[in-house]
Amino acid sequence: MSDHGPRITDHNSASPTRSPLPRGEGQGEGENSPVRLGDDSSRLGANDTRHSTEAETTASLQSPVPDPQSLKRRVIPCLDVKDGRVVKGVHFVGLRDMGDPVELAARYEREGADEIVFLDIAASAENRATALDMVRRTASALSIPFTLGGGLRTLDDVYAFLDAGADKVALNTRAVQEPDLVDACAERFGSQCVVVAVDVKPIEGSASVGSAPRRQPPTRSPLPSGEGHTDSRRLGTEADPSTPHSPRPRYGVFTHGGQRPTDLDGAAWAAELADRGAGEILLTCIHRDGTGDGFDTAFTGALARTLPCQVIASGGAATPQHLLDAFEAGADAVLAATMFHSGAYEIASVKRFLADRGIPVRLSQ
Amino acid sequence: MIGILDTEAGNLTSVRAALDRLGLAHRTLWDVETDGLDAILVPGQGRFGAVMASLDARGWREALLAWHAEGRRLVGICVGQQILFEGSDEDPEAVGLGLLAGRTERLDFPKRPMVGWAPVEWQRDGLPPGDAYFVNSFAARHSDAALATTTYGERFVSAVGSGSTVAVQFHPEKSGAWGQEVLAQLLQS
Repeated sequence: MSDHGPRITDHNSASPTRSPLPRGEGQGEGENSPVRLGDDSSRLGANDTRHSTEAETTASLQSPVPDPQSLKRRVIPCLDVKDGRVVKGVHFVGLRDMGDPVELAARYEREGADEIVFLDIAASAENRATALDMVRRTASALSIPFTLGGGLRTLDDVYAFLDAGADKVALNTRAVQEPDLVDACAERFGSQCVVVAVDVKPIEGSASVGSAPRRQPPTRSPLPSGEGHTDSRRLGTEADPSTPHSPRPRYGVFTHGGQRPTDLDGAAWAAELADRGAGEILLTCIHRDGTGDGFDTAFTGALARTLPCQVIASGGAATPQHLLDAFEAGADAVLAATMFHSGAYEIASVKRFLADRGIPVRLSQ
Repeated sequence: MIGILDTEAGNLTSVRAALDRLGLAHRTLWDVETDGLDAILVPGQGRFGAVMASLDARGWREALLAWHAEGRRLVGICVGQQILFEGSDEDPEAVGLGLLAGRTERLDFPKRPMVGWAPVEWQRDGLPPGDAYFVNSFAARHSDAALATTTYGERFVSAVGSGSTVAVQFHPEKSGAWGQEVLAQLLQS
């Protein structure tokens, strides 16, 4: 059984020849014991120096997540790739081939990136071989984890990329169309390799409606696709009593690269994904994406501090201060592209900036 | 020559690549055969019970116990550490190698599974301090053989050593340059 409630069990539709990649370590259910080793109080990390913000204070009232000794906050460069080439403007000196995602990723690793996310923005059956080759070369070149997103439609697709060496896959549009795929991936490969990208933006005229995450995710629809749902994930059908603190706008979920609206509520959808076994939520606030105005820290922080899984902030990062703001709001990780690709900031100096301000980050030894 | 034991628990790409980067020759082990090996590496991301069943099906339980008894180098990663214990809450019916007393338990992590970087606090000299990449929900809370501990919500054993056998709960092959250095020391010391 899993950490995340009931799962579908029929995932035989995609059986590779060998039986590799069963559920990752630690996805099983076990019994807890209160016995502790040693004195935990001796290990107060840098977290106790984290700044308190209004958003954090608000979130902490509803957050069941303790934050004693915690994981390092991750800084994750994101590479948009197409046909095996980096497509967002990269302006580095010293790279032999600035369009090669593997070479760029290796550079970011040397600079101190904690992880790399590749988004295959034009994934198709035709360029599958190219994408798999990129993943294989990346797995050989990198000694940090990396995630591949884009064009993953079936359990077989996910298997192919994990088998090629990706540590995680990111589902997006497909998870909305077929939510049970999230369960199936978590069941088969383990939650630790299942990232679900959630693209949201505020819905106009909704500012008076509370929108914090639901404590109790809605019951799963029996339908295998996103169509025909009448459950409370839907926008406008949910009156969540758990958020009396401050009225916030509702956030709607969008698919197809942020182009197509759905009737899903962002907070409720994220909670459902965690319940279905998503190991991490990659939360892109598309109203900030490309603006350089910084992350939507209020919404991102509220989710990060409430969900039982980690939340990666995405959309809007342009300065180290933006990353700091996201971490102070509660984000577990931040995704950024242009501020690194442009050469404006180097990851090592950004992480030093964060460390100097009390954010626990991994620094080079 | 390093033997990478295939436990049917995930692809071996990352471990092979890490050994390649270290310049260490390696081959993948399926059936029991240990000729010419300097060390056996047991990687793993799989379930405790599934890994033990896979090893038992090929006779590796006895082979690994004999290898350890002969004072040969055995290195475990993640589940490769967990199987050294007597059992795991992940699969209570499964029997571990029992090289170490105790069992692996489900931990009270703030967020689950534990996926990310956390500091490794070595309890013996010689290995470099640093942040390791972890992917797990289970670990041993204590062990007389602990070489290191890590804290995420609660403290747990992040490395163990007994005789010529050493193992880590984290993934050195995914822990950057620091992990490479640790892996090299584990395999060669």
